[in-house]
Amino acid sequence: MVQTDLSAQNLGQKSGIPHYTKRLLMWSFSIGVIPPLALILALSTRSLYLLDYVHVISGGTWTGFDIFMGLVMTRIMRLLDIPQRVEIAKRLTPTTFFIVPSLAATAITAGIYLAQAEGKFDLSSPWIIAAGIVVLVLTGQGFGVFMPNGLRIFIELSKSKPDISKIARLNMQNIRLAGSQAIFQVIIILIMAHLAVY
Amino acid sequence: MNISALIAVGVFAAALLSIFGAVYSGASRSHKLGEMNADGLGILRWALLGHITLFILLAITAILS
Repeated sequence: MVQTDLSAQNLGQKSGIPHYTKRLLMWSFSIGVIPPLALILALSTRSLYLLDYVHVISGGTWTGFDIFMGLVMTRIMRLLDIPQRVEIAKRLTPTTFFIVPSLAATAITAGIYLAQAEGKFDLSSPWIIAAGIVVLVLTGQGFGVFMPNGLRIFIELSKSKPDISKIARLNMQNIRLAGSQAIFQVIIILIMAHLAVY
Repeated sequence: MNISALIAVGVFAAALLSIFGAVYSGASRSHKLGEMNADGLGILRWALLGHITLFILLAITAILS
């Protein structure tokens, strides 16, 4: 079996956190605070219309992002060499670090407030229970896989000898998982459509 | 005030802190062994601060609802 040394030095890459990481994290944070701030605005103005809008736009953007990652990015990443995948991971991880969890948390929180405001938050309803199970799965994936993987990528990048193949693998895992999240989100939208109509 | 929403935010924040703590302690060990530079720890602290801010905003929504 041929052993491949994928250390940064062998791939001719500079080790350490790239200079643009902080800038991308700042960008991600500045976009990431918008959904919860919009939710605060909706609740402080007692606007059901704005609450509904925040829930739909944050949930829709979150779903769209995951579908894009699952259907488009996985195809693109498979066609790239490992060093090229790492270059994408270095930029994709900080850019999405705050935006996606913020969209997810806002969509879920606004959804609960909306269901309560419309008198549909009945914990004995099979539709609400089903929605709750899907939300738990999505949250578990977010806390258990997405975020730790993102942090591990940052840690690996700041090592003097980063394991390039590990960075590529963690990033690919996140992109594939985003695809599986898209399936759960399509299911939850089906549940939401039922709750909205009936 | 929505007490159940506030508790949920608290539980999620605790989960976040425990995961961050585990990852940070591993990173801190690597830093002490000289395997990684201080920039990585700085980024982790920055990331934690950002997530705590998002949780504070969500806690405000629980108070407002």
